[in-house]
Amino acid sequence: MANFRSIIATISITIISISLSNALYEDQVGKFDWKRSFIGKVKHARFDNKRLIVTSHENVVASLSLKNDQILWRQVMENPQEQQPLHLHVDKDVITVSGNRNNHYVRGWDSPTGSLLWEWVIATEKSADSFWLVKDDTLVHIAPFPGSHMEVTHYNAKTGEVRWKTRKIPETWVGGTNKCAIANPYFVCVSNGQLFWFNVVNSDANTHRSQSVQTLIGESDPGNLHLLEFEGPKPAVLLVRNNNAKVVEVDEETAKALPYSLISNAIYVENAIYQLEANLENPDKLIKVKSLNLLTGQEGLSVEVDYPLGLGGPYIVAGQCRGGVCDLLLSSTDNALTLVRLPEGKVIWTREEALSNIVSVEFFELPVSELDASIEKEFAIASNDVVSMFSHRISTQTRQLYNLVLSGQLLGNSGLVRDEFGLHRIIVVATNVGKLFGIDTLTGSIVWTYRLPNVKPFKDSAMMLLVQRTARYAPLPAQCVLLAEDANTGAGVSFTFDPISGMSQRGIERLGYKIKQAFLLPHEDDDHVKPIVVVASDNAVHVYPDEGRSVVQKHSDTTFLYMLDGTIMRGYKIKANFALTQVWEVNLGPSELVAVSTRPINERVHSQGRVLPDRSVYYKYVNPNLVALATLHDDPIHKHVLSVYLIDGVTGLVLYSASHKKAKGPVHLVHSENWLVYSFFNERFRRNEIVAAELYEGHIQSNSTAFSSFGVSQLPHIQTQSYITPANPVSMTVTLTERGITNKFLLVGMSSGSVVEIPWMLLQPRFADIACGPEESCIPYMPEIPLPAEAIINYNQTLSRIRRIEVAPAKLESTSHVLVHGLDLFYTRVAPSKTFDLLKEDFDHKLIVLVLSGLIIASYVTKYLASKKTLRQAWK
Amino acid sequence: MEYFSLRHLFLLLAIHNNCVFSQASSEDESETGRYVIEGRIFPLSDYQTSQANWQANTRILVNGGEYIGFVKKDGSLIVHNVPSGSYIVEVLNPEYTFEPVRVEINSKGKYRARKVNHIQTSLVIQVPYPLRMKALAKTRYFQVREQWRITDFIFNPMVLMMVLPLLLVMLLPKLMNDPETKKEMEQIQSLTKFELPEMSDMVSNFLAGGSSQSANAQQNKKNQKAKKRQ
Amino acid sequence: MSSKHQNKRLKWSLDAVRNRSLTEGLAPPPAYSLSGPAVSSEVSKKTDVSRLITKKSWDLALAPLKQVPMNLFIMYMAGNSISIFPIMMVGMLLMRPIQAIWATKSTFKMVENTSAVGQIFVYLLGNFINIGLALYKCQSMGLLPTHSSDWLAFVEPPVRLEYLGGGVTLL
Repeated sequence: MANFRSIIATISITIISISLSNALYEDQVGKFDWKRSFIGKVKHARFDNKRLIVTSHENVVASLSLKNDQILWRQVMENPQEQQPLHLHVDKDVITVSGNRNNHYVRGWDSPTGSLLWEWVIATEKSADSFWLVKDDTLVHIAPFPGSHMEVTHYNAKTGEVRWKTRKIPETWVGGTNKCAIANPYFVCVSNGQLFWFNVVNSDANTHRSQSVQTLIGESDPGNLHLLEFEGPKPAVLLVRNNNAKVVEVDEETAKALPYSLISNAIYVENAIYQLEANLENPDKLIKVKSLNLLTGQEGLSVEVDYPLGLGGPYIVAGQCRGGVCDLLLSSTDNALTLVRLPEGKVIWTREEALSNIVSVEFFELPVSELDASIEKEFAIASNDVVSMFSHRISTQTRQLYNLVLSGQLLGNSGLVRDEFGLHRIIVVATNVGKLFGIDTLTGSIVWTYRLPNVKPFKDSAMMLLVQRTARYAPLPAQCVLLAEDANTGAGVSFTFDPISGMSQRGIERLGYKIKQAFLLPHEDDDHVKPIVVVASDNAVHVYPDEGRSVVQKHSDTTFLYMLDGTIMRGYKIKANFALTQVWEVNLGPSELVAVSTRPINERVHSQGRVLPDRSVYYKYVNPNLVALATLHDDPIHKHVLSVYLIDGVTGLVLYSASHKKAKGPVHLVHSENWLVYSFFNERFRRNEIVAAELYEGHIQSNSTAFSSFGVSQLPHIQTQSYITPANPVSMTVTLTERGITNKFLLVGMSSGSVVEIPWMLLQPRFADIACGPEESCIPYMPEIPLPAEAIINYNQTLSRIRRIEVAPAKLESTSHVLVHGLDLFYTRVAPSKTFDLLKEDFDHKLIVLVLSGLIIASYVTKYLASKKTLRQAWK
Repeated sequence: MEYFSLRHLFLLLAIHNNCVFSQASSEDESETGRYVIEGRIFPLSDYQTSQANWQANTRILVNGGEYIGFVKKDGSLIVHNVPSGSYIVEVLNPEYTFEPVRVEINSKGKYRARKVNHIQTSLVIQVPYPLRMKALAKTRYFQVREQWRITDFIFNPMVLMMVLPLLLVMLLPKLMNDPETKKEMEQIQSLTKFELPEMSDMVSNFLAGGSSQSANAQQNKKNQKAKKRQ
Repeated sequence: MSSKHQNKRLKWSLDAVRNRSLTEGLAPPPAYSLSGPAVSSEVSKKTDVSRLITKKSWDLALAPLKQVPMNLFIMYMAGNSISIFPIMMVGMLLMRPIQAIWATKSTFKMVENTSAVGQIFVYLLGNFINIGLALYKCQSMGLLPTHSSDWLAFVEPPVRLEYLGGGVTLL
């Protein structure tokens, strides 16, 4: 029974077998992919001769090179939401203390290689914001309980052996983090205008010393005081009062304030104190480093730093001087890390650590090159004169040819110019700190940055990047809008910019209201700008730009909106007078919303149905308005119950719902075409499972020309199937291609740091009544999804803490762009059906030319020989 | 005070003996219900030479990152602060693949390690605890590029099908037609023919012995006669 | 050498002289007339050529029909699997009659006969039968796009009537 279908079958089988083994070749490593590693915002930093040891708010300990911005080694510790690095001590080995308020990990690291030397834990029953200090090889743990007492324990730093068991020292002056500081070996606190200190390392006597602040700083009103650590030659702290700091040296008997004042961010490096000041005289060099003599407070050198303009306000984290050359490590408000070398004031390197926390990503097409643009202009400029048009065309095309031959502008490497296949893109990235980056996909280099001060993501997790106009409309620049929240007021902020250059004409616009929801209309106005509809907290509708109001008005009949408030989903309609009217409401009950997914807006579905073995078509139910939701709720019998819903966002019709008992998060949802895939943890069998559900209309398509959510005659048929994954998914997405012809891949980020591609064919629910095998165009059902190492798109480049995977189609149908972000940034291109529209990389042009020319020559030679032979035979 | 010294003793022992340390610490931590997963990693033998610093690049994930551990220089692994329960322990190394192990810690602090089987979850194949994780193989991330070899081309059935008949059609008649080769062939044939009678002659001569002279003469005569006849 | 030849000649030479007188006295064989052939040969030559032409033209016209059993046999042998040889066979089955139909005029050119209409008709009929057979073969091999699934790739996606925006509230 071979037939037309079986041709398709054989083709698709080959595609499957290809796509199942769709791995990279070893020589392709780094050809189109790149990885950038980050450490996050630096918390502690210490210089260790030729390297820098840092810990960060991402709970990472790392070593950086002083020569360039390379990470020498990096160890990613526990989840930063739960645990933070608390102390860093660099001596012969690196000692870190990390943890939360009552669980602490003490780890020793080998400073050249970064391998673990020892690890032990401290678990306390009472939680406190602890202080730590290391003296020789003794780790002192000070747990203050403000107002009552503190507990001091001595440990052997290497083994965790208790050297001096917990002492409870009842002192009422003990305060919290701000009010106390370590001045090795003293624990210093300020309380009620008095400075108290206590030798925690070797004082047997449980007695403290104290001195009034008044006598130290010589002012009657102590005001608001707090203490900062200060690592001087003698035990000292920085006493800060109204942004004015003084060094207070303490010893067994007395405390003494040094006779000069500093700003609070001052550090001591080899006999001098360094601090940063704003430089108002030179607009190019905004930052000045000043050094002061420790004893006298006399000003030493004052160096202007050529501090990069795009960075935020800096502060000094650590410093080191070696032979007259001093290195200062600066961290800035936008999490960037800069190494400055004195006395030149030169910036050695800058690391944009903001990229370790990306909240929104968008891929942009580049504009065409000037030459191509001038061809486009042909009709605009000389619209009537044929001769001039012709000469224009000829001249531009000769220039193009010239460029092609001479400068080899084959892959658009010459600047930010669109290439033939749309493989060169610019990725615009919005980060948690409110800094925007434009990143080149070919090299991974940062093209532009833009720092938005006082901006934070909505709900601390999301900003909206909306593409109003792409670079397709040649003379008009591309336009993109970032919507975020004001860090102080919580009101909305909009920032309109050109994603290619990072320029903004209007700058940051602070909206006078809080943003509840926003979306982009698919319809363009006269300038090819898609208007943005912003819903304020009071359900008022705002449209940006203003010219878009007419577009909204025109399409108000067909524009709908849904909003999820907890587990209550409400549907709205935008009326012509720019008001929202609620149309429907669905209450999913008392549960927690864990995942929401809609189809990618720019997704195209090429095939409208699935071909059955009898060559009939089973039509897909492709509803662009579907919203997939997942909720978890506690259940007395089944622990947790996971419910998954497919709801039509226009009508509020629940098309499908399923529930899984004894299921646990994390839940990841992917909705694409006519299917839904979700993953969850099955508590009963203690394994991760993936469920695929597919929606079909049936053998007849109710309306083949238009789709309306209101035109539902019957519910779709739903096929489901579930699978086991041997790994833990942390993020899931699906590949997107220009026309949707290419097979789909599910890209799954695993907790192990790999991103695996799983062909949708492997997950697609099998029809129970239809045979499945190599003869048919499907793979037999396997309960456990194979995850071969060849399917790991980031091969051996392990990615830490994958947060999301972003996908965009390339102009080439076979290819899509993939950006994986988390602590690391990884970009690659995937081709789910292999690059069928491109010649293979290893295509041997020489061989084919050789063979063809050989054949041609051979045919001519034989022709000649044959004619000669016939001639000779004729003469015989 | 006695308790204090006892603890001291335990910890002193622990420094010398890893095994004792584990018992001591687990007893220590059983008060808070936290346990320690221990083991050792055995990389492939060629690994240490190829990558000097494999310990720093290896991580231990328990339940996909709920708890994490690192590998010490001697290859031992330790994961702290684990409450009783069932965990999957994975060893992650960018170059080598390790088999995950399920470690179960009951509420009394008893450990059991077994192979991970996601399909038959109740099937228990025990493995030793403290864990001994051996690298299965080097991870193969890449496909091997097919290389064009002349032998592949020649032994391609299609090529064989085309070339062999061509050879037969083109070369065989040529071989037969060529006068020189014909001669050569005849020569070969004649050579073989020539040799055999001579051998027999020699044998007969040898047998004839002393009357060789007369025999020769006779032969000569015979030859002459034959010439005349011709 | 020469004696040998003589011997041979002596052995096989006929004695023609001895029987010469006999032949003259014999009556001609039946159905032999001395004058007959000269007259009728003219007529029979003409009718023979035209008969031959018609015969030939009928041969031509019936050739495709004669091929039918052979084609059936080929079809049976080719099987239904899709691989290079069956496809080539089916292609030949289909292409040959089509080519033949195109070449009808030139085929019948040498048969300059006014009454060739019947033959041409039969010829065409035979070729159409062959085409039909080839098509049937294609159909049974599933090469004909007769099912809706074969046109699926050309179905345009339906136009979206409503547009939906929104998500989790950002408050």
